[in-house]
Amino acid sequence: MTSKRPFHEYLKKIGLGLTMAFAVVVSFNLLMDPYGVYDIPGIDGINIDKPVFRSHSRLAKAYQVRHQKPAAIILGTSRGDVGLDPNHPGWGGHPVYNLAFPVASIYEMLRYFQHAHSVNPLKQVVIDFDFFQFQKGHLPRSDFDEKNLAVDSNGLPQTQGIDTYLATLASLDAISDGMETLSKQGQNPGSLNNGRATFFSLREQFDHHEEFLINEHNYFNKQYRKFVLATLEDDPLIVGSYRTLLKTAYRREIDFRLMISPSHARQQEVIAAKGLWSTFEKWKRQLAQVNEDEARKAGKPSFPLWDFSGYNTYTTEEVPPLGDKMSSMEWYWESSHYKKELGDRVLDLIFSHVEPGRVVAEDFGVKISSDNIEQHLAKIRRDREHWRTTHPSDVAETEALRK
Amino acid sequence: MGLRHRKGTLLRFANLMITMLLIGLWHGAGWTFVIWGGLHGSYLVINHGWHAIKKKIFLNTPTSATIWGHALGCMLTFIGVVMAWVIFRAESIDGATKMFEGMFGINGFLLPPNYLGYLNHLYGLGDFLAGRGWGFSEELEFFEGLVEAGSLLLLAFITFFAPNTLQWMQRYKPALGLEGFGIKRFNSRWVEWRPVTAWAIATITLAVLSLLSFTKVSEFLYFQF
Repeated sequence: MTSKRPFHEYLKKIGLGLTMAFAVVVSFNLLMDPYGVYDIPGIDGINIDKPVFRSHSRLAKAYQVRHQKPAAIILGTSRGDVGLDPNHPGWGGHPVYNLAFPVASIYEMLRYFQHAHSVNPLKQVVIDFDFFQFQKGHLPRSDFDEKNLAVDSNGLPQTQGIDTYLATLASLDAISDGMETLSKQGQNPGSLNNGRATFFSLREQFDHHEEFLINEHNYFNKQYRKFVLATLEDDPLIVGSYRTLLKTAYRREIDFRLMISPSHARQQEVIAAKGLWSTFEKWKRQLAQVNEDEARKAGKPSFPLWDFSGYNTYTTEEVPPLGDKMSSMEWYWESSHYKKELGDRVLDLIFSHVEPGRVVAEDFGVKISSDNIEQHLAKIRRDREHWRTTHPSDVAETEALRK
Repeated sequence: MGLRHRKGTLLRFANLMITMLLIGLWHGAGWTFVIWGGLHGSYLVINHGWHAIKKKIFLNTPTSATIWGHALGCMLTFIGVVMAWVIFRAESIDGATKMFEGMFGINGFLLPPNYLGYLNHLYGLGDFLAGRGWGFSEELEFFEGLVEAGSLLLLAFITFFAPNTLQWMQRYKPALGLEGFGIKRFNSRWVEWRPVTAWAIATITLAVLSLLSFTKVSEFLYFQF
């Protein structure tokens, strides 16, 4: 047979080759830092733009919070992600980070709040709540990983698992995301340093009406299909997390400002078409009730809870006709995502800020509590009836979903 | 002489069976594992028995020399092993039964909706199948379409036509007593493994790709929520 030398040489080649290959892979992934985990200094044309943050927001935002140490955060779903601006003048000068991410569950919002608070004690939080988050059984998404957060669910510090290092330095996904990062330098990355998403859709020509129809169809047939409102007894993860958020905020005297997202009138018509209108009202009552309950227990005045939904000047914005790809709506992308322009007015009201030259409609936004909620809900019902008589085609389209 | 011969054979079969049952049990403490072992024991016994009978009937003419004989043998072995794997991987015997029902078409057949049109090009085969209860629906959660079908075809090609490990390493006598097993020697310098740089590079590439695919980074596809 052949001598032993070739085998020794062969094994040496393998050893050397493997080491070199891994060194190259890890170095590339570290340099590109596609998820921002390692806070690598930005080099123009190489890694300064981070185009994959947007599709990995739970991972990327957890680390941005560690690096930036904000004193205030925004929590919410993709609506808050797109619409609420950390640079709004009403925040009061401290560094703010938009920690909202798509389809955020209440439990995730609690955990990310705990994470941010442990990194740097928070002074202020704005939370944009959405109806679907309180659906019984709404779970965190598959890309939610508790291990990325600085504290566990009991508030105790936890160390980085080795999995995050493996995933971000020694995985094919990281290489592919690194290459995507490299190839998209100089383009709009999709999110800003302060966490806010920069665009809703990349499409040059955006057919608002078509997007409304698609979104409404999705909500009617998926999110609202078997919608049951979560209650404390049967879904501690949702209402329980809401309570814990409030409890912590009251105890630590953090300035919390709560809001119900300004969904477009047509989105609310979808809720009604699904037979969920009274559930929707019940949800608002529940939000207010739990807030006041926790305030009472803590002996503090309750946090403001704003309702920006309803049938007001902004939520009833006319939708351009189907096929019109040129008109740009002022306040909305589609039936649930509002534009930054509307978000700025939301924050104007929340912070009692008056921006020179910016008008906020009188009928927009109501602070709700158990004292006024019944009148408020009754008024929305009246406004709705009026809008329905003047918008037969919108009503027809949303009711057509029932077929 | 005949009796001792047969007793020796029976003993050999029993040993095969016992060994395979134990191997099954070694994999896990469950009936699915034992049955898996038992199936492989049966296959071995049937194979040995068949070769013994073949010698008597065909008087040493090797039937596997024909392509059809070889192909049939491959298919039978493949199906037998696949069915045994289903039991091995099932959570319970009932679970395995459900899998078999699906595999044998007892639960019906489902194809993507556009296949109706494609199949109808073949003398209206699509409508014919639909008439016999085949479904054409979008509710195919687990089927990834052409990519999946293509991958399976590629894997099938590799399974049935590519050299196996013993043939890759044949220069270096990778196992004891191989000569009697009729494993065809692959006469190709390209296909044989040798400790040269080209093979080192190929091995390193495969190793690195495998190791790097262990960990995934979850992505959130930006649905408009």
